[in-house]
Amino acid sequence: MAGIAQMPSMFRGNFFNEKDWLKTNVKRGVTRNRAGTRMLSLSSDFLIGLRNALQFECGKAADAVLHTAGKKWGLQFAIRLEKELSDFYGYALSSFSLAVFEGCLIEAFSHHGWGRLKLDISKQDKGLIIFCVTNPIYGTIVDKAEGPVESLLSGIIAGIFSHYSGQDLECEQTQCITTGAADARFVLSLPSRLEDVPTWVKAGKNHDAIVAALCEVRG
Amino acid sequence: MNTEIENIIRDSECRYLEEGEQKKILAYTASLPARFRAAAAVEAREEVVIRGVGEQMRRLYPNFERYHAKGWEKCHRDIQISLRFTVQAMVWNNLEMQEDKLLTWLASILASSGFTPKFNRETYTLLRDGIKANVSQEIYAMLEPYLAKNIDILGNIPEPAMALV
Repeated sequence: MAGIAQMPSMFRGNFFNEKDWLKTNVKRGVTRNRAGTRMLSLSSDFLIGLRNALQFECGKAADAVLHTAGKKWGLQFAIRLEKELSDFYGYALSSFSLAVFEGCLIEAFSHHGWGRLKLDISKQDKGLIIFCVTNPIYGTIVDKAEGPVESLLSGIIAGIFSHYSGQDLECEQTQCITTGAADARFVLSLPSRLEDVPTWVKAGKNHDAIVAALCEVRG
Repeated sequence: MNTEIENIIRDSECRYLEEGEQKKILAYTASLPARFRAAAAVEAREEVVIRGVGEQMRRLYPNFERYHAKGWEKCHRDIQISLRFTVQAMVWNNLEMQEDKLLTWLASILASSGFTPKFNRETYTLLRDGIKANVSQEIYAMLEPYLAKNIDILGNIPEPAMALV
């Protein structure tokens, strides 16, 4: 078929496929992904310990600290992911179609154990991207919580998309599985547009109402 | 890798292989020449089969390329790689391989691209039927569960908010 030979051979299958994704050198005690990046497993007791320690040390600022750490982590992750995927597929990530980028990001989240991600870009024209995550990092391991618990994940999402968009973006959690919801939900936008979201969440506004309110606000 | 053999290796740690386990491994290795012949048969007819799928899908979806630049060429590529992973999974007798190495990821991409589950089911059913028409009954029987896997995974993506096919 005409044109196939000239198309970039970016289809090598799933970069994250489990059998090839991680390899551990037991003698050296080192796990690396297929691109050679060193990887580390963090168990739920570590994550709980981290959260508890931050709450003890920082009080109400603990979530902000986790979010900031997540954002820095997300930024570095995005830079590394861009290189690894570009090298693997032989094609710059910036040239991937949105669908392929989304497919890779969903797999990246899953294979890092951050939950199963779903993007909703239907409100993109309003400057919003919505994320749904089933089995998110903290929601499945925290027993009790007074508010949303995915500040680390919201930071990661903000960091990732700040890098790929080339501008500083923020991400706020609008729905948490600790309240009985099926998934955790987040909104991503310019920081100024999301300033009221934590207050709305605390006041009991649900995810759909928050999204509707944000769609009315023009940044 | 062959899942059954991997399981045997894991289950037989700290002991010797039982007679039944040895037989299973030998049965698999004895099947390899037939699996390689099947793979060669598919390779020889790959282009004919995939081109046939493309022609039929163009008739069913005449507006497809309005939504996707070089859409049919990309479909050709998708079908080609799916078929090659199908054959590889058959060679390794591993029904989990396609899903992990390709199909879950490809399903996300096609869903994000506005493909419908019906479009995918039709594509990969035509692929299955094209293979059936171009290889022997015996070879088709070896491939059938793996061809069905493509239909099962890719044909069950969620309906898009807006179909782009």
